[in-house]
Amino acid sequence: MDKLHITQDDYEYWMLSLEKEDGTMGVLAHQFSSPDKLIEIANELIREGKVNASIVIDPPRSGRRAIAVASPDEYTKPQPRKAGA
Amino acid sequence: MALVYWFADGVGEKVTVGGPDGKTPIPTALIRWIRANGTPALIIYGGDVYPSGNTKSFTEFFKQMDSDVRLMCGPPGNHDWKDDPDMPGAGRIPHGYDTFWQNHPESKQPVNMTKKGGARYEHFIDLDGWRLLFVDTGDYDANPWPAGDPARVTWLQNNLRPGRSNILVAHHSRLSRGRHGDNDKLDTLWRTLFDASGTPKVAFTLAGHDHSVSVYGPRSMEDPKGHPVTPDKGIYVVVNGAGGDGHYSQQGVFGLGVSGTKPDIFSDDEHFCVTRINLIDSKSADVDVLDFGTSAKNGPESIAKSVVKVRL
Repeated sequence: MDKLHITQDDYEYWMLSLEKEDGTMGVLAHQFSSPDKLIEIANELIREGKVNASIVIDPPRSGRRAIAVASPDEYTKPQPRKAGA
Repeated sequence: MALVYWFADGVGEKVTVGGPDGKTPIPTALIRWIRANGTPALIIYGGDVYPSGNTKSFTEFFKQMDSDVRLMCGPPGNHDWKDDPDMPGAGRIPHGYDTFWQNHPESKQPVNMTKKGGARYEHFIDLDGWRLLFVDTGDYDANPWPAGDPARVTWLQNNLRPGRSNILVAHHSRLSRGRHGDNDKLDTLWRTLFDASGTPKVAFTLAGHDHSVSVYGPRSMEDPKGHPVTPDKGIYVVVNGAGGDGHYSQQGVFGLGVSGTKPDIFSDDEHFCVTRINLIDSKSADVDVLDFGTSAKNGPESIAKSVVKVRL
């Protein structure tokens, strides 16, 4: 089964990555200020049959929400990331 | 000449922050730039007030617009239709959206109290020889336009101006590239934009929904997902949902998680963007995408590759 990873990137934005069974990964959504929308998207993707995956979610880093972090000027689209890594 | 601005999918609770101080909601940074530098005749917010379009969400939206919606209107999005009680005389409606715009008659967004459902928000605005027609596709998942109401089709048919100086505005787009992709259940709407012979009655469509930017060359009535056609035989499709609530990838992972027709003119899934429509005269309009980067810290750059020059 594939995995949908909901994690924070280096700037504390939230992102959604897809990991296929063979280990290949890609980013499906990024630069969100909270995990809420990404959890919704992940559930929709499974419900709609677009992916056959389980969802893995990281706890917020440092107990902080990314919304409280100033937006970094150097932000770029992140590489995919596994929850729990 | 009139300048119209569009942004979508970016207001309400927990949206991304940025701007000059790094703490301003992205949609606030966008609209401040539009007002200060854009000489807008009309500002369209293309729908979705997060998370659920209820009164609390719309209170946040109003704050993010600096408590000024005088030049604003916009169709409801799918998130606005999450707050959808059945109301006496009005039917099932996006309640927070309906209430908010009723309470702001100074805006450009009417609520037609004589109608039911999404028809209450459908209207048109004439600007410099062009007509912008706003339809409500927000209830797409449960009841795609016209939601079983043939009067909405008739209304649209009857209010398209003769010729092609029409712009169709909605939350969902017939074509789109991203997490949502093409909206096949809008084919009735798409076909309404052409006459029986397939000649377009609309120059271009504006929409959002996917949190990315997709600009398509003219598409035909019968084969919108096919190759672009000449402008006299098709309708340009402009999608921009990059208004402040993160981004949906347009690449996906080996075809998974992303769908929709790939744009042939321009695409972006990394930056916050505003669409600018320059209505030059009744036969001419330029459309371009203003790129505010990843944080809207500074003013935008117009993306040359995104420019669509409509000449009727």
